[in-house]
Amino acid sequence: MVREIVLRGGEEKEELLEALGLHSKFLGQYVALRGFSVVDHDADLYRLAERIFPDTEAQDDLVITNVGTPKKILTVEI
Amino acid sequence: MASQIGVGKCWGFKDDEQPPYPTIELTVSSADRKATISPKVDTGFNGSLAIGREAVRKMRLTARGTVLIRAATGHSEVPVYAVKIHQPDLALSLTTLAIGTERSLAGRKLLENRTWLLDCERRRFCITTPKSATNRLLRQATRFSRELQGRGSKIRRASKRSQDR
Repeated sequence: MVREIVLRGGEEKEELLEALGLHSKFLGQYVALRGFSVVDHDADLYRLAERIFPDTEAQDDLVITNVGTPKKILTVEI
Repeated sequence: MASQIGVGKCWGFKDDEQPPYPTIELTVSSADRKATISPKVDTGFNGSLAIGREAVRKMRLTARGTVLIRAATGHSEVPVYAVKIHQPDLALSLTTLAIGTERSLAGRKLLENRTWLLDCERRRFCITTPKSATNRLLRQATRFSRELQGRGSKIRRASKRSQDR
């Protein structure tokens, strides 16, 4: 369920992350969730991904997202 | 500065918009599919790779999450995909996250720690090599060539002596 909500994004995702208490602990970071549990977190998306997805096949049950506005936000200037 | 560097592998510009823009070629693979893409080189993108909708569809990539990004038009939420990037000319082979966007982009994280040549006149985007390394290779090649010529002369002399006898 968490995975589906995160993939849909938007307000529903923000409400879920708030309800899980993640805003108070991980605001501005990226988190990896398995179900309702945070399995890892990092301010840098790529550093987190290196640990969570060492290859393209692993960890199908994990989902990555940001909590609030990331401190190290990805910027695309087009 | 230009005289201090040599030019390595180059990729051409794409001209589906004007002025034409630089690209590089990458092989992107998921668990069971592979595709070669030519992302636009975008120094305004601080990530590694943005993968276009068409490539996502072709490779049947599954989103591994969503992240907030900042674009010129404001913030937006985009899917992220775990992909393997392979580019032999850059000695690049890594698994990373790619964000899903309208078109494929190669960002600064892919370009960092290398020296590039953006040659708009010849419409090419190239990796550069230090001139010292190029010169060293040339010197080695010259030495090797002379050595071969020397061996050839010795063989010819030995062969002539043998015929004379």
